[in-house]
Amino acid sequence: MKAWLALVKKEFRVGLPILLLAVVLFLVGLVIVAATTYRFGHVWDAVGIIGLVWGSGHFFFMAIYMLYSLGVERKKLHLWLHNPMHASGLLAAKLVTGTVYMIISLLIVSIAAYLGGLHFVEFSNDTWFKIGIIAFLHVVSFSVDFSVYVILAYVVFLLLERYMPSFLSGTVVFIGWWVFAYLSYGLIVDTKFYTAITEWGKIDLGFIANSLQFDISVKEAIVNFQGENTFIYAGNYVIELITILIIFFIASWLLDKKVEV
Amino acid sequence: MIEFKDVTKRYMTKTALRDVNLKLDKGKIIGLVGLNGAGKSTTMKLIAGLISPTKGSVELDGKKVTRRMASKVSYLSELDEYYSFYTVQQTIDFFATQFPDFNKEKAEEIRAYMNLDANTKVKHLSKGNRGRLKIILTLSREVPVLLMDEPLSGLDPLVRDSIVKGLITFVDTQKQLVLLSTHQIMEVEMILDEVIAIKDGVLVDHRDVEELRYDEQKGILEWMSSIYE
Repeated sequence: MKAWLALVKKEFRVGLPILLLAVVLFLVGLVIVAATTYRFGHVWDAVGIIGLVWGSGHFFFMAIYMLYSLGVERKKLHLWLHNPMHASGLLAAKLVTGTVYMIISLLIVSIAAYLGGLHFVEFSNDTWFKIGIIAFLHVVSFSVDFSVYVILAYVVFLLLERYMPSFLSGTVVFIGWWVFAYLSYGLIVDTKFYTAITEWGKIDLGFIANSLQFDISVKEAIVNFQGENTFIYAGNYVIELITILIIFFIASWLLDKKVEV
Repeated sequence: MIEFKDVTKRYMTKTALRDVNLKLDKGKIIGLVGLNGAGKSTTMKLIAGLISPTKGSVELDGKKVTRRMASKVSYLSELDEYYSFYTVQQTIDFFATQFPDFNKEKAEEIRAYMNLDANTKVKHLSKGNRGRLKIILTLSREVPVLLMDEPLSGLDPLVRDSIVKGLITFVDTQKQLVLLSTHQIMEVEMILDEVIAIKDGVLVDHRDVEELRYDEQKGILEWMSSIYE
């Protein structure tokens, strides 16, 4: 455990540029948008929209983080893999640090989204809190979920790189990714069987805003939330959790047994 | 201790090692020599578990070698890529956390002996000092097997000398097996107990250096010339 915690500490240092980049890009975007909308008197509206857009962009935070962090290790595989720790420990350290960084970045963005949002949407504090928590948890969980698929794709890339040039290996993985996505949707997700195993444990979330409506003219810009009564199935989350655990252990096994330095 | 049984390693169409049978015992410093591309690095990586044989098996103390055999093997790569944001001391500390057998006192002793500043960032180290850092990290582990792939490559004579002297001083020749590959034969000849020659992926000879010297009146270079010419 002590070795793994030390590895986590190292991963925080490896992945720091991604956190800094995310925060700096957000702040630069914020300043530019605030400066351009200032004379129209819509600064807070713009801040809210930037917050919402950048917050939604965090769906891809973990994928980018993992690509960067694994890319750093690719140059020093002899160092990263020469370790008695199981590969799942090596990868988990990256997942944990990426998740912490994403939460930090998302919290900063959420503050802007909330402060800006207050100016163009009149929700009660409870509603804001509910929407905020649901959105926050979904962005974090989707981002982590997606990154596990990215880890598998990257490990397959490392594996193929032993047999073909990097560019070709990357192309094969990229095409394979879309074939996998197409087949998994067509053969699994879009079936009655999948519906049966996922659509259980219905949870009613009540009214949830799920889209934005923009009404922009020369004189004014009106932004409204649109929403409806929403429910989710616990089954969907459980099945996806099991799926990514399987994907994670396949990636770990490949890294442990098949990837060569 | 280490045993290669009919080991072949292929990379696509290229055969890096072919039908290698080899036994290495502890308590020796063994040189692995050969021309570039002969299969020296492949041999090292197979023992470190960083690659797997295409055919045959590599065993350490009777167990098949895997990547996680890093708990018994300290491997110095020919590459000197380290985490550039760390200082020398932070790199040593990080290694100490990853390997329970890492001896920090010994690391400090070797660092002082190598005259390497603990507070310099790795990214600011010269090639020679990165070579020294590699030696510190490798020799500070109290493991049965030390693998050193080209530890003297590209370094100036003074650094090479300090590394060779470091090997004599800091390796426990009773308990540890050191396998080192190098082109600088002259500089390591005096410390080698055995020498292995590889040519085009084939193990061509494995000799006791003292026997070679007294029985055949040959130094390693002469012996190599007879093999490679």
